[in-house]
Amino acid sequence: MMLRSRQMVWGVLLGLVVASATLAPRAEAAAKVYFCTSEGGTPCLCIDWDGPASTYIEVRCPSAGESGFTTDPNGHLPPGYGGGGGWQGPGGGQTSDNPGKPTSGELTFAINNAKSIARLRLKGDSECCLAGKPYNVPNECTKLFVGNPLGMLGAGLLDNYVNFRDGTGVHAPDGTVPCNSGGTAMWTTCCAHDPDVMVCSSYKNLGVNDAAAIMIHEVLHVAGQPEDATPGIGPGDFPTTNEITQRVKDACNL
Amino acid sequence: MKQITWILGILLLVSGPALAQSAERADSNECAALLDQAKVLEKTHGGTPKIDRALAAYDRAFARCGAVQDPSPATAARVAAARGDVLFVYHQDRQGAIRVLENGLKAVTAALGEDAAERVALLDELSNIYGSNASTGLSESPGADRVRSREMAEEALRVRQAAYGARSLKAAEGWVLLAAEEGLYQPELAEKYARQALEIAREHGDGVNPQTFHALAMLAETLRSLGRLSEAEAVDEETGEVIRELEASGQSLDA
Repeated sequence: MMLRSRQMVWGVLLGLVVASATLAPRAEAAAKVYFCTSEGGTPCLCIDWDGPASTYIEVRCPSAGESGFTTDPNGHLPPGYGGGGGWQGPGGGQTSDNPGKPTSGELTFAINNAKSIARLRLKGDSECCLAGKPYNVPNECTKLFVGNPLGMLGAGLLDNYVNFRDGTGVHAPDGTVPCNSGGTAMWTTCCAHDPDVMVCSSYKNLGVNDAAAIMIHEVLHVAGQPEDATPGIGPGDFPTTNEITQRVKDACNL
Repeated sequence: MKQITWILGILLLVSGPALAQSAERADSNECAALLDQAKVLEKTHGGTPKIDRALAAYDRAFARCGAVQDPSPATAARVAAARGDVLFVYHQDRQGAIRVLENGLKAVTAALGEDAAERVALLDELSNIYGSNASTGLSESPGADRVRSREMAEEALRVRQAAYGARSLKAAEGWVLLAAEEGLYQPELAEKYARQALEIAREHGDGVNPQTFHALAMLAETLRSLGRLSEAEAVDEETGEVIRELEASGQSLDA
């Protein structure tokens, strides 16, 4: 969505009318309301939200497809946004009990590379420009996290919440040691929002896009996305691990 | 008739070693191709139940590589690096992996010298295992393993510089790995190494190469660990640009 600030004299009045009608419940966070246009030239209303916990621009256009919000640098969701189903967990966040150990060497190298790609995708599509600076507009990848009980977007969780730990020898709640299975590169528990994500040594041998997809998959679990771990298909089943990874790959172009 | 027999005999004598050498080359090529296939499967199926396919492919490759008569030092080094990695990553056999890698390193050093590029993969892998031993506390002497890990990473960088050039992309890769090695213990030093890597990587292809991306990713995380968040975010912006340019030019993000 390309936006060009085009405040017009007649628009200020109309903007105030619209703003008073639509923003009253959240007036404490709104800093500035103005007219802007979408890339296709559609007149839209832009709202700079500058609250204590988040800063982002909400764009309201006649067409829902052109509406959206830019991502907050801290990854917080706009108030009232979201509400997607399928999440579990109490919200509110948890503190780390730090099982596992810090990573080193090639594992750190692989995590850093994957994090850069995951962060880029989760922030949304970069658009030019507002006040001379590029900004991000949510894409399908960003929206994977909408409505989660922690109330933070994926990029925010990645940078401000999740800890990546060396999972060598670490036991899962079911008593197994997932990193001893060749088929596990990263794991976490669901869905109490435990911030610790365990990384197995096999993670370093993944291609960087696959590594990023698996990373986002695990961050979804931290946010409260349950997974169907039992074989067989039943009504209301959660997605399987492969389905979650595939969903991430499709949404995040990985 | 006697003359023909003599001629054939001489021909066989002359061509024998050459034939044997070309047979070794053919076998080694097949061994290398099978290792490549296994690596591709591993990159794609790692972390999924389908990893069994990659492990079966490694087994096939090791069987074929093991049948190569008088393998060249380069082939032997490559097989040792792959074997060591599989033992470490999938069989949790750290001691077995170290044995295979150190034997491979001794053999290739004796055959090709201290500056041989073939040593790099073995040194990287050894540094990785010793580093993991140290950070996870899985060895009896984590302090000594930490020192060994660091020494191996430094040696891998020195060999990269000697074999490929001090300002080569391979050298940049060595600096990033050294930064990753150091990040846990001395983040300020890791920042210095990451910046060194970045400076070198930017000299190649207008900075559009996987090593620039890796150096930036390392730098961003190091700055975060030092609490310099706004600097880290500026580096993120640049990383995003490099990723987009790499993707637009059809280059891989993996080195």
